[in-house]
Amino acid sequence: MVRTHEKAVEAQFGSRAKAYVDSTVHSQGADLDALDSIVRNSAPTRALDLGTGGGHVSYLMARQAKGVVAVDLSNEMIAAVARTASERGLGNIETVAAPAENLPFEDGSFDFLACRYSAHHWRDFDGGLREASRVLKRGSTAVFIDAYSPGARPIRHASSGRRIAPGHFARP
Amino acid sequence: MDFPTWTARMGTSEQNARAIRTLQAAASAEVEAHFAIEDDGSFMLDVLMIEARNR
Repeated sequence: MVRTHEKAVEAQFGSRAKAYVDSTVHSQGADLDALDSIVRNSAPTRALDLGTGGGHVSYLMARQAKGVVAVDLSNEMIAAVARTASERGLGNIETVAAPAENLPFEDGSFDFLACRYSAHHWRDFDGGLREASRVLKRGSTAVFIDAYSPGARPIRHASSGRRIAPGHFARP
Repeated sequence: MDFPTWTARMGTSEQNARAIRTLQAAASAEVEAHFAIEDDGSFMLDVLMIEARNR
C-alpha cells in the first residue's frame, strides 16, 4: 500500500479535527483581527476559505460575507466544521472536501479568498496558488496567512560592531 | 506553540516529542532566542500575512 501525500495528511488531521476546532492557537490571534477588518471592508458575496482546518476563518467571514465556502482536503475536518457552523447558527457556510490544487469551482466564482495555515501542507504550492487565482474574480482580494522563515537575522560583527547582511555569507 | 497542547493535537508519540526536545536543547543561543524556546519546549513561530489583489 502506497501512502500518498493526501492519505498521510488526511490521517494526520482527520482524526484531530475536534482539536483544531477547539484550539485557541487557531481560533484567536492578531492575524484574525486584521483579517476581520479586511473582510468587513470587502463585504464579499461569496468568500472561499481555502484549507479551512478547524473552520475559524469561515466562522469569522460568515459574519461579513453573504456566503462562505469552506474547503479542506480532509472529510472529517469538513464534517467537524459543518457541525460547528450549525451549532453556532451560521447557516451561510457551505463545506466542500477537495485538494487545493484541484478546486471543483468555476473560474471567478468567488469575490474574496482567505487561506490561513494551510498552504504549507499542500502537495503543490504553485498549483494551489494558480487554483486560488483561477476561482477568484479579477480585482478581488486574497489573504494568505502562514508560518514562514524570515531567514537569518543580520549578525553584528564581534570585532567591528558592523552589521553584516545574511547575503554576505555563502549559501550551502 | 504550547508544547503539550501542540504535541497532543498532532498525536505526537512520546519518542518524537523527546526527539523534538533533544533538538531544542541542542539549539544555539541565537536559535533559542529567535524561537523563544521555553523550558517545557513551547516556542514562538514567525507568521506572515499577505493581502493580495487578483489580476
